[in-house]
Amino acid sequence: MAGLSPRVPLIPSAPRRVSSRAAPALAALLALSACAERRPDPFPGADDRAALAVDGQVFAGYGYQSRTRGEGEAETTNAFVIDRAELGVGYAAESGLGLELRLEAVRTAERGSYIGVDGNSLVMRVRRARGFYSGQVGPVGLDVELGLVTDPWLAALLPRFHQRATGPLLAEQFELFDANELGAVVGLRFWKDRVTLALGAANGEGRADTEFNADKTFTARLSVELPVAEVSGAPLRVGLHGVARSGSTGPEPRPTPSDRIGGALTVDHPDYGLGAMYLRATGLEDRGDEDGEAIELWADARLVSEWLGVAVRWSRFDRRPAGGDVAGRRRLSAGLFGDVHTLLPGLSRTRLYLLYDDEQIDAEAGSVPGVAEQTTGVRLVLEVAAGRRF
Amino acid sequence: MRAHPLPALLVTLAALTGCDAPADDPRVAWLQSTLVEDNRILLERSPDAVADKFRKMASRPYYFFRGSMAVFVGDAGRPGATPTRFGSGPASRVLLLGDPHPENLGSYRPPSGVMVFEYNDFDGATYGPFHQDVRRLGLGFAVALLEAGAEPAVVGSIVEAAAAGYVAGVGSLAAGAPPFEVTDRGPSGEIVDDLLRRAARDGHAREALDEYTVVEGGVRSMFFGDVERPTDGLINDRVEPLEAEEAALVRGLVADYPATLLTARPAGFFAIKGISRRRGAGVSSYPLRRYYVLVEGETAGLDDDRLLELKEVLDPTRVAALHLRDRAFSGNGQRVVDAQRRLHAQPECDPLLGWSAAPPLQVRIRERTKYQKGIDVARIVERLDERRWTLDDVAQLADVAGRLLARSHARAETLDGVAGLGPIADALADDGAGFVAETRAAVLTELPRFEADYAAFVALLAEEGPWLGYRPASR
Repeated sequence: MAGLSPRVPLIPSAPRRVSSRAAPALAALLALSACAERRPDPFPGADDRAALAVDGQVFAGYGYQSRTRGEGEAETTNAFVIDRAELGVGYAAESGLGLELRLEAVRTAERGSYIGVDGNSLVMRVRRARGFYSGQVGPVGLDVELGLVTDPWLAALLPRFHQRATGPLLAEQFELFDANELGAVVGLRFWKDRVTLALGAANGEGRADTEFNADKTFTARLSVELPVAEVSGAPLRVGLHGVARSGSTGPEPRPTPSDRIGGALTVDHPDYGLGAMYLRATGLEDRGDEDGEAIELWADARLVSEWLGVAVRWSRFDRRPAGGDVAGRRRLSAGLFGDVHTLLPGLSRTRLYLLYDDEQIDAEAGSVPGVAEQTTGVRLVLEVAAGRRF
Repeated sequence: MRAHPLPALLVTLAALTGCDAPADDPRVAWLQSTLVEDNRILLERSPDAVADKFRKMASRPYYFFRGSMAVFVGDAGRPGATPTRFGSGPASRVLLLGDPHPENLGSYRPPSGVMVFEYNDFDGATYGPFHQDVRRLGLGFAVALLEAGAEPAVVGSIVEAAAAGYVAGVGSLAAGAPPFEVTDRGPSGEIVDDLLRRAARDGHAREALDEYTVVEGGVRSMFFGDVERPTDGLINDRVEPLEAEEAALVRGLVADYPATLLTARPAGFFAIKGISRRRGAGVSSYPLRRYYVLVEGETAGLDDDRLLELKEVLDPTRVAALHLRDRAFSGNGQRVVDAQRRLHAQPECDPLLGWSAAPPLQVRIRERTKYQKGIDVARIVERLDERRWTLDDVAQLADVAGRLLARSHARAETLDGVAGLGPIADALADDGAGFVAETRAAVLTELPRFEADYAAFVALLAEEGPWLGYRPASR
């Protein structure tokens, strides 16, 4: 699942071989993950049959930020934040059928809004609620999800993107794809799961809205991921991913097009991560006459055992309004991290980041058109994840 | 110049568009989505009232302008919008009226008894870049003149007058002059003087009480029915009785409200004598809940009875992508009242101004009196057509509106806790003429798009039905 990537098993334990008899139950449990097609880590358990799993994840931290608009003085803020707090429970039967419910805590008042539910406190909402099946049909692996599901593109990238705690991917941040949407996803796995094809159909309005139009949003993703080397006792996987989406938002009879095409290269290893993603969007937010182009690069590596690592990410997002100039924003984030979960037994992942951020927004893309913006800051982010299987 | 009869304008527009909104025009799709989204909550709660609101918006360009603030804000913040050379961080955190335009100007009678002329609608008050308010004001005048059939050059000159008034207002305050105020003690132009004169007359006659209440057998009670006849099936001014549950809600709101007044009133002042629900008021706020409450006043006599208006307030249209501090206000009722007190020259322009809440309902409360009368663009158009008023009179109103806006922005604290004057004066940087030219250019760029939007909106209503293609869950 997005909140618990296969790099973060629900219960930390030594890998063990999986019996063929236990395979359906194992597959079903792994299908609790939004990246159902991945099978890198065996799931620990007594009998690998029906199981109930519970997990939680929190991204919390403190940040100091300085924002400058135009020639004006800098606006500084410092704040404690909770970027994400999730709690998930899933059940998978030996048959491969299962259910997952995942809740998240959110602030109820958006920026610029004055009224939140219950006085602007954190409240819980459903992040994912789905039924699923994961099994094998001859040589082909089959995964089916139905309900409030994650878009196939994000479902593929998020587990391979190790730095989610430092901020969402561009694709998620600018809602180029919906992290949560009512719909269905069918996945096919070939060649020992090295080739996966996922097809998704969803309303297109995202989680926040009911369906406005009869059209559905269709996403097709093809991934090829191969283990190319054994490094430190774990496989280093290189993956190529491609996606195409035909979508629409807004009311009939003029739904706004919301089409996407893109690709990504990922390198995935427990100690290393590397990624490059390109996306082209036709139709942004509620603007059918705007195009967008997103480029994102990231890299992270553990340098000194688990105690010290380095993480870097860079992104550029350009909007092209009809007849207008390109309006771009660039963001660089770099820093150090340490995995300190050994200090806190029982947690599957506890990572602390110290980050420097720099965001430049062109005058055309600024919140006040004509006024460029620059934001720099330092953040301390704590990522904590824990899980248990019953 | 001659005013267009409105029905003829509609027919012309329908003919121009062929009553057909281009299905593949992304602008039309965006317009449709934006208006549906902007009214989404109300479309589910009161679909018939929103249908009437859309009909009202379609009846006149100026009403469409009033009901389409979300479109204006959406355009103002999008990449490719007419940029400003006068932006800065501090000048982007100014307390804005949100929706300044000619029909949001009107009269008040503060405790001093001297009639004053001020902005009178703060439902959209929020923090943002000052130039956005000036452009909105300029566009309001431009649309008003569009209804009057004015040439673009004339429109440009009136927009310039408003922007120049703004620049002059800022300059005057920066030079240490006293805050700009408009009262009935001196001439302020034909249009303003006419309004203040009529407001004083009707307010003195307690016309509002006469319209919305009746006296029978020495007892004053609420009147129920049409105060003004519906037009083409659209309610103009109707007051209706409330069910017991809703009446109890209103009583609760009134009970909490005295604590929000600047000046305390004697015990018994707010004893309730009658409640009604008002329908048909406003354009943007047409579907919102609005109640009239008759209260006792200072004595048990009939002559000092007061009529309160409780108006529901929702979130303002968000200024896109501006990361402003959350919770600058405790709620929407408090937001509009606090903004009004800070943006007016006198915090007690409206002595009975306050707020109340029964979450999620938030209301602003004021006295319903004819001392408070608003500018009516239709009246301006009519008088221009009759040659009783001239374009110079309109320019004078625009100048006054610009100066009042400047004073409002300049005196109120920004999000940074300083008076707006400094950041705005710094942003203008002795280039007032440049700001005036930029405002004129931005408005004249916006105007053809506004006209096209209005035509598309009329066509959309004809094609897509009363909810612009949206289907409320209850239907």
